[in-house]
Amino acid sequence: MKAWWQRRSLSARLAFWNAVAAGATTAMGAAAAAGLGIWKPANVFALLAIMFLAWVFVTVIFGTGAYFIARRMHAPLLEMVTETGRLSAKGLSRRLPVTNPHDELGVLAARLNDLLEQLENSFAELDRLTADVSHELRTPLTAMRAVGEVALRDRNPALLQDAVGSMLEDIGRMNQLIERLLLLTRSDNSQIPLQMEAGLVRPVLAAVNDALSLVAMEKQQEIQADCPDHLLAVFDPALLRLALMNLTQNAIRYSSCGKPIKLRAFWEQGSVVIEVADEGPGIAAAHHQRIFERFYRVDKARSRADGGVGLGLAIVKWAVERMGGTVRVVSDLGRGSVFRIHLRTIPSY
Amino acid sequence: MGSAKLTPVIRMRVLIVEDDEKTALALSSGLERGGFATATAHTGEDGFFLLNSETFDLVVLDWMLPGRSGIEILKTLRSRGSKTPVLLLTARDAVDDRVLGLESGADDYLVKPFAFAELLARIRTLLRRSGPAEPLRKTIADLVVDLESRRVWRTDKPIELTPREFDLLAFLLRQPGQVVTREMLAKEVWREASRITPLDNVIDVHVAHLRRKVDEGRGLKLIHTIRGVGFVLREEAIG
Repeated sequence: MKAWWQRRSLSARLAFWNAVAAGATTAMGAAAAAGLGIWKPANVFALLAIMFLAWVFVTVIFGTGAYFIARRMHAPLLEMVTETGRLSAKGLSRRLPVTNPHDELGVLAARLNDLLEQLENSFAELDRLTADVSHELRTPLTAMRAVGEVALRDRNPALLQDAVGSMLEDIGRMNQLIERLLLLTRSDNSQIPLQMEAGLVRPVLAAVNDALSLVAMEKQQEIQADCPDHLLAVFDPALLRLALMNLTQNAIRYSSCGKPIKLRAFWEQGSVVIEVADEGPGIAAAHHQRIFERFYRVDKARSRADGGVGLGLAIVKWAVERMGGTVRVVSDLGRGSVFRIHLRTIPSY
Repeated sequence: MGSAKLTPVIRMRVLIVEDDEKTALALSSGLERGGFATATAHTGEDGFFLLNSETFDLVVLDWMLPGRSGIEILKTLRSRGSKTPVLLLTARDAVDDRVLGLESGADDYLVKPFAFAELLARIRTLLRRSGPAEPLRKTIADLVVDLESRRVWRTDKPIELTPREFDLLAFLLRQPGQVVTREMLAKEVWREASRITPLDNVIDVHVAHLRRKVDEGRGLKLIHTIRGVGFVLREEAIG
């Protein structure tokens, strides 16, 4: 009996209890009328019979009416039930209907739709990432296979040695890719401890300049570092160094011989700005948002030939955002590029 | 073979406990060629049995093993008072794991995948810890390096090196005839803790400069690049 009752629809159960209550009220009304002497039944049995009939009659009428009203009000709920039945991990593009955005059902549907949106985006991101990673791993694998097969056919030991060297290079590249990717995924779970401290910016720029000046000199480029002595910011030294090393190496890589690279740090409206500017070919505005995404390449052939794995800027963004800062690019074709990092500073300073 | 004269008079015995047979085979043949005697175990139980029945100068121990894990073996070993140096191999590289590994009594820690050159260097360092102190003046062919005054001569002519170039040369000289990877240089010479910071270009440029100063115009080259692996300091005539 209980199980049967549980299987009735919400509308039916609601209508039933409504109707019973209404019928009971009517019967009580009859009893009260008799008690007050407004209505004089022939005897007690007549009173009870009338009360019972009134109760049954009102229950049936009200029950039917209440059932239809409840069904109408629950219609959006039923639609939501049907729609959710059509959703699956692979088909998250459907959205629940929002009939009345002001009542509880409307609010619920809107919230669920938000959640669906997020789920759909992260599933799409996962698909894209899997495709990208497979592609990035397959490229060196293809090279290794070709090199190995050719080397085996040839009996020349010098060639064999060269082939093994080339394969080891590719292995190194794949390893780098995996390590960087792990860093980025772990960061999503924030497993790497952050060591934020207030510190001078100048020594960090000097260290980057020191590490890379020789690399720049190979292309007759000069790194010009310009930073006030006492500029303070709040940062994690290793993360800031990581970000600046990546940006400066990109600047060296993508600008032509003899063009200077400028590292600048200064105060601007309550935050510390660190800029890495080059006089390279620049980046078209269409790419500005996306260059910080994993594996996004403006020029697909070129950056891989330079030994990049397509994660440099994603790592820069990750490092800067972990420090509570922001990074963006200001650039245009033919005008060079400026990567701007905004860091928090100490309020009292 | 250039490394033949580096072979110790009494061969050091190294136990390799590693479940992946390919890796174990590569390690044992590499170490044999590097002048060590090796024994191999593929499971934690076998490794533990060998450790109980024979003596070794060093153990290369994989963390993840079928049966008894590397950490369990290590803890049992240490609780019995054994001081045999242990080099732990692992695919995990989270900070917690590193701490756990070292606290359990490992002497050193290497994250897979590693360069064989680095494993060899670490093993030699571990075995050298108890050995005699390093001389302050080292010589290879006609190159003389004074580690104390930080000066360098080639065929009695002084060579001017920047501090970084000197550190680089000194590091190569610490393991003559052995290949040194860029990763090792980043860690030991540039003191870069993170494996992510891009330093490969930087290292290549510094090696190129050092080579220009040390080898340019000489028949006998000392600094060599091993493609796909790293660099090595050894005597090798051109052609």
